[in-house]
Amino acid sequence: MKISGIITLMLLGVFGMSFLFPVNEERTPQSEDLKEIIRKAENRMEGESSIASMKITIVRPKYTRDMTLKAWTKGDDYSLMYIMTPSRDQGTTYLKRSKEIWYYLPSVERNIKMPPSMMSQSWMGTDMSNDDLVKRTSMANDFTHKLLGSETIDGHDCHKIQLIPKESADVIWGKIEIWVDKKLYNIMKQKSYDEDMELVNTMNASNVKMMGGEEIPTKMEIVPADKPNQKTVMTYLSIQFNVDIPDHYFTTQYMTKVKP
Amino acid sequence: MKFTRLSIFLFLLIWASVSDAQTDSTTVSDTTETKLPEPKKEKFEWFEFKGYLKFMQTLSFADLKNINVDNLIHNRLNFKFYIPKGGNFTLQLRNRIQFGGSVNFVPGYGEATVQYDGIAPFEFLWISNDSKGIILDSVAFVFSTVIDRLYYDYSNDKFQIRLGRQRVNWGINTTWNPNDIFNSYNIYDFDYEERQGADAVRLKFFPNYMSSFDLAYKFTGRWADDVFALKYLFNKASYDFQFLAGKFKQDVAMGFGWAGSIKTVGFKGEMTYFQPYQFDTLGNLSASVSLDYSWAKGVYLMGTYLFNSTGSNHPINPTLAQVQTIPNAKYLMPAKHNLMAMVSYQFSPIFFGALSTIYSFEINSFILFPSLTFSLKQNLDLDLIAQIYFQELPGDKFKNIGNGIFWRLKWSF
Repeated sequence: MKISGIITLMLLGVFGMSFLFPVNEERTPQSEDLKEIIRKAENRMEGESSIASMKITIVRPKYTRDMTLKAWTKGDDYSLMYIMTPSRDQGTTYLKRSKEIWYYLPSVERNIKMPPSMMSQSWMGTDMSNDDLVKRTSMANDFTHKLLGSETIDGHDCHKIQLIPKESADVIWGKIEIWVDKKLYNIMKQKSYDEDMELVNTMNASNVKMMGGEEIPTKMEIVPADKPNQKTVMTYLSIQFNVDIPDHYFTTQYMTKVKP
Repeated sequence: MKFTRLSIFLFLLIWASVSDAQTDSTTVSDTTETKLPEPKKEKFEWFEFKGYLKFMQTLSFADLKNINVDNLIHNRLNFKFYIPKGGNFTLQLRNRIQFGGSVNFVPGYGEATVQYDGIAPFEFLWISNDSKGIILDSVAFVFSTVIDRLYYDYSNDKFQIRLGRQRVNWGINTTWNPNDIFNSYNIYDFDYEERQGADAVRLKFFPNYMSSFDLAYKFTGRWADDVFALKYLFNKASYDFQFLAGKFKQDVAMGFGWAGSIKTVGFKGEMTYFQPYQFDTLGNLSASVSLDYSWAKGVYLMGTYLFNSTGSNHPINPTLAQVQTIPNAKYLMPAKHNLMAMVSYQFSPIFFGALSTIYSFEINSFILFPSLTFSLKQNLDLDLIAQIYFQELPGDKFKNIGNGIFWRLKWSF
């Protein structure tokens, strides 16, 4: 037997041992595990598919503005969003298919294709970007991951993970830090940095409770880094997971005739 | 004088709502913490209703000594009725009450508000400002109703049929649309965003999820003015593409359009070639291309170029060419080469500003089009808009030839 064969056998033995007798329960997640954790966390609020209603409140020192919307998602690639209030924007619909986004304006009865640069733009004056909303980038696939440690957020023990975009990925962020609940896989906090590594905004999740058969945070606040007295609050009004949504919902034809 | 008083009253109303909006600040924390409403139970909603009420005042002048003031109270009502077994009816109408200089001094002004390119009798002039071309001194306003959408629609995931007065919108670009052959419009009439509908029959067929055949026939009552065409739309390599062919009035029309991007810059275009039946007459190519880009901080930039092959390449008198021609897909601007640039900025969630400029080469006309939009309350908006026109008239120098200043309140419901 050649030396290399012996080394291979030894390696197989070591891996086999570690598989049969884990070194300890609280072992540190490896890179592949991290990807799985992030995938679980990303799917947490969407499932295989979901239908959600939410309220978004823009809070400024002197005023607030509310909107409500309904969103359908299927897998990573498809989402559809319908604005219910305010009445000025009622019926405006956003469609995401893979990396392409369209919006439909009912008053002029036209579909408009969004330029990719508009992804980083604020969505309807909120502290969220279009990218935050339609989740064009995949945290699991478009980034490399590194575990930074553990922290407790809103009473939940979390992994703190750093995400750096892969060279090939078309991502608007320079870096993202997320805090993922170790038991429930909810993303409890997220800090997004621009390409100069300056903090852009912080998301804080709270009000974890049963909704749609899952324990999820039902409230999320997004605070821009340079304006700490402003925020955008997203509150889930209802959510259903793993609903059978027909594929034709996620098409430019259907977005002109959505009935919420 | 009553109108001046009305304007003052409306201004006071704005300030009242602004100060009201500011008192909202005390309730900021309350609104975000209020108990969530229980999700509604799913049931068949057979009726939808929405609309708006606008008041707009227009100041138009060539020099500051003679300012014409026009006022418009504009109400839009949109209804949609769903039929349980499938399909729906849509009814949308606009009621307008106009008063001021044009009503008092322009014969036929009332008639002009209900002029419509269609066969259905859906335009109603309740009160006119003249009788047989003579201005009636006893009438202080013009009151009209126009139904601009009234159609039945049935669709499933394979096909769609729509019958009645409807908007057939095939345009891709924001400003100039050579592919939008079913509509004629004026880009300066910003107050009518919905635009006129066409009395049409429309059939759509969807061979797969992201492609469609769209066949439409617009009836005008005169074969020579009817428009019908077939469009094929599909999505490939992150681009939307469309091809169209048909009859446009007395021309054969063939068109092509796309929407996609070059890296992160939006890249869209559309062109249509119009060939008159009389093949000895030269055809017309109408083509537009646009680029747009937005920065994270809320600045949006757009540039568009329009080519009109039979457009003028020398100074013209706008009273003849511009005013009498209603622009359509074949003839969108009087000049051969036209450029438009637009920059907009979201100052805050309740304050939006935009500046558009249009330059037409050779006829040497330049238009400035600034606008500001304030959200005063959740459903109340205030717009301040100006249109400033410069042009070189034949035998004269390049100068300011006219201006419009508009303020508008819009309550959406």
